[in-house]
Amino acid sequence: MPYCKQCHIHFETPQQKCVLCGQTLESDQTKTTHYFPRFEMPKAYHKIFKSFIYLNVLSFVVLFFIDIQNQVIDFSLIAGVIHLYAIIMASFVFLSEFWTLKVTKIILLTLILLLSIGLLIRESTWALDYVIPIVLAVNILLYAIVILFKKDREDDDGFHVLLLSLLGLVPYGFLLLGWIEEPLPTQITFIVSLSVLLGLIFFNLRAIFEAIKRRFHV
Amino acid sequence: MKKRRYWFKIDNAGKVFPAISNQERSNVFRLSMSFHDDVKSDILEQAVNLVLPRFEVFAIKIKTGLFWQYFDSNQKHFKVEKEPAVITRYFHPRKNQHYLFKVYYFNNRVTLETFHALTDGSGAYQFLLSIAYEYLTLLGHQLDPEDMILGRKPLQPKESEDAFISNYDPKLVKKMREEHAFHLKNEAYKHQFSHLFSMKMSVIEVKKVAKKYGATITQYLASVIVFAMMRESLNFNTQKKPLKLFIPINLRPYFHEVTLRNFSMYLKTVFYPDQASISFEDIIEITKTQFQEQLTKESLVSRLSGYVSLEKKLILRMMPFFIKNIAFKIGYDMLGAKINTASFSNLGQAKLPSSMKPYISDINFIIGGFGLGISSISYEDTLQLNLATRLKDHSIMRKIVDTFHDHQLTMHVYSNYEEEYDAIL
Repeated sequence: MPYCKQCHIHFETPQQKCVLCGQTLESDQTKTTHYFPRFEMPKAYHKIFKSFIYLNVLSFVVLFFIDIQNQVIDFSLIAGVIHLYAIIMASFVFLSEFWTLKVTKIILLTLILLLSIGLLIRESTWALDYVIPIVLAVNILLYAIVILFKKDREDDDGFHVLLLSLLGLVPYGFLLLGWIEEPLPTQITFIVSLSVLLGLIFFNLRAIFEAIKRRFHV
Repeated sequence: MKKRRYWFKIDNAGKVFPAISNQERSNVFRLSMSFHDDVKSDILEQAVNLVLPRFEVFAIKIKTGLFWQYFDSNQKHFKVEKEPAVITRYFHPRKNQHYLFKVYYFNNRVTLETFHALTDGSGAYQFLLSIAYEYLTLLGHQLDPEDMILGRKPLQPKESEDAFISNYDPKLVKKMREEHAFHLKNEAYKHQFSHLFSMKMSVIEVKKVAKKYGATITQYLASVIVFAMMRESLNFNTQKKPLKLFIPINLRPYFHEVTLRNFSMYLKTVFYPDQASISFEDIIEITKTQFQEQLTKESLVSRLSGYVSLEKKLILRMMPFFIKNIAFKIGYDMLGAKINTASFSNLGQAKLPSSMKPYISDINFIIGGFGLGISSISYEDTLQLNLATRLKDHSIMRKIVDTFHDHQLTMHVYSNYEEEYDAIL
């Protein structure tokens, strides 16, 4: 067992030098064991992600300076939104675990991207007419299918479907206000949302109440 | 009867941990049991999954509501892992089937690392003991639970109770004001490495020395730690902040509670810079007095009520969680992280059925801590005092060893630090 003459202590682990004073240890033939696994350098995944963010930011800065030189802030704005989209998307892909959550986040993020571009180029009617209703309807259906087939997730996903279904009714309000020119996608989304909402109330009311109680407790 | 789906509010002590925990401050503590033979990982995983449904407090995941986070039932299969080199390392529940604890194996040792939001040392010990019992049973050993294995008893609703709330007395609320404490400073190890230095001593010998000073083992060890910190900390006597050692106290015996959730509270020993050169004998006398003053039921209830009264404030309750989360982080950085110098947690004598003893060679308990996390546990006649630190300074460890030698205590030590680490950490 390694022994430190200076600190007067026996080490049960196979040390060469005393961890307290750095003195070389005396050793007899007594067996010692490693109490802990050996430390190894961690893999540098975060560096790859950091480099990815760095490249996106760098690209935005370069484009911004080109725009300034051309005296029109235009291209860099759209590129900036796309870069932001790429960064958030990458974090979703690497970090989210449930595929439903991942897909929902990706779809919603893409929706925000398209709307942002629409607003930047001052042409957003296609987003209101098509993108918002279709994305909402797809998401509501996706979640509804999940809770139909995965009973263990009905409480959590039931709550998400409830929120999304309520959100799905909103575009119909836009239609009534006359903001939407092409009514069909909005009408389909409204029917999907209402059907799923009624289905939740008829078949999953207890779980929804429970979920509301949990999530809104004070 | 175990319910399929359940949820509960996070207890008073646990509320702040999810917000303030990160790679630098893991708030993870560790309990381990060593067997005489190497651990069979597949049997261990089987044992954990057999025990887990009985322990509602552990079979949970953390979720975020509009106003507070909460614990929701988690029925996923739990996977045991090979022990990593870094002890009490921060882990993200998302990468752990959403569970807030880890079960590791390494050679003949099973380790339970638990996030403090879930439970304290006493609660985690009950869980580990049940896992070890089930593991040995699955290996074919004939054991008798001797009414000590919670996993073999029916589930009691009181186990999941928030005992802070049930013992809260609004009439006895004490205002919680803590002055900033002196902090140990030095260069830290890279990669969240925490250096562990463990000392093994005879319980009988330590008790004998403590008795000589008229103190308990906890009071004696706390005094040795304070003595070493006062003597070895640079500039302690030239600045104004006091040295404060926080010592968690298991509140269950005081309030006759059986909860498995957090139910401990710190008492503290405080020493001011003008006391920097007082003798060990004076330190132990002051420590004993401070213990006596704080360890009365009335004092404990008023402090406990002080903590609970904060979460009862309507303005805080109605604040959306994302704002609370920011407030917790800022509040902890400004106040919480600065109120103690170090923590010392003594789990006491580890109790287990006599039929298990022939198979268990060692039990240990380790707390992490950025400055210095000190912990101790006794099993049979071995007391292990563990010093875990992320700081590269070893002078306090050395002073503690020297003090024990001065008190005629002999010891064996072990460390997780190896010479080659100098180049990478």
